[in-house]
Amino acid sequence: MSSKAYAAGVALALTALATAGDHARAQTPGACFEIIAARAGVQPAILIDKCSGRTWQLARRSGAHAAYRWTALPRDDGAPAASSAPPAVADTGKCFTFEGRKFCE
Amino acid sequence: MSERATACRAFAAALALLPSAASAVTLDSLQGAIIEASSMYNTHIRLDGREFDAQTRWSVRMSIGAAGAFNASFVRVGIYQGREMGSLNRSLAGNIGTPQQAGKGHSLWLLSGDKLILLRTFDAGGFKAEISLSADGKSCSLRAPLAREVGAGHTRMQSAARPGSQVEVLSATQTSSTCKVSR
Repeated sequence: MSSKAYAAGVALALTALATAGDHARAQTPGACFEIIAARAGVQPAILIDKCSGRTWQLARRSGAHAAYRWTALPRDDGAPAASSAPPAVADTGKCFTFEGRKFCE
Repeated sequence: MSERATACRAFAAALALLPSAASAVTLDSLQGAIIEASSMYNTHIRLDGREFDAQTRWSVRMSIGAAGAFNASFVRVGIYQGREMGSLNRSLAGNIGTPQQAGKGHSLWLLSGDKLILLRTFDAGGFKAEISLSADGKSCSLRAPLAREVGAGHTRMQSAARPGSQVEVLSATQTSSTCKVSR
């Protein structure tokens, strides 16, 4: 991938994040969004909306206008991606959020 | 110092970091692994309106294939006064990183650093199993606490000792665990 394409992807991702962040602040006073960093060859970057339970992964779309996009994560049980109550995960030490529910040890 | 020398030093420093990066646990390095882990708990439970001190043994056997695909079987055994009162068995096939339905709740396996993590939800409350893998991927340890659900009261799940009943877990403390990796 060229550095230009990568830079464009990162810029797009940051734009998406900023938009998502604005949306989150409009919904709740706290920060709703959390990012799990990508690990090369293991998993892409994952964006979590801890308020609504929605999750996205950062994926590169190929083609004439290749770019990075936040793509809603599908579910194994057939529920549509980015539905009103999709799963969410945020592992933050003693607590995690999953399916829009918060759990603490 | 010339720019070229600086660049060479930076490149050498980057190369020095490679061994540690190469030793990280990845989906590729887990391919072909079979992980067997179990955990014992001292619990205080409420079942059919009565409270008991009891024990629970939870175990998992997980075989990992290509690209994070897995097959896992789980067993939860209810123990009262040293006697096994019943067990629940469940099998799941899926992919690491993809949430899925598990009974009335959901489950998700994640790879985070050197840990393979299972998140599981119940009727109320949840569970997190952290399997820490050694750098060579040949050994592991298990930490698996129950997690209270914020705003949902005590953890509630299907009873292993009395199928069809719901057990309320008033407290649960992990007392021991085992973990083994084979290929």
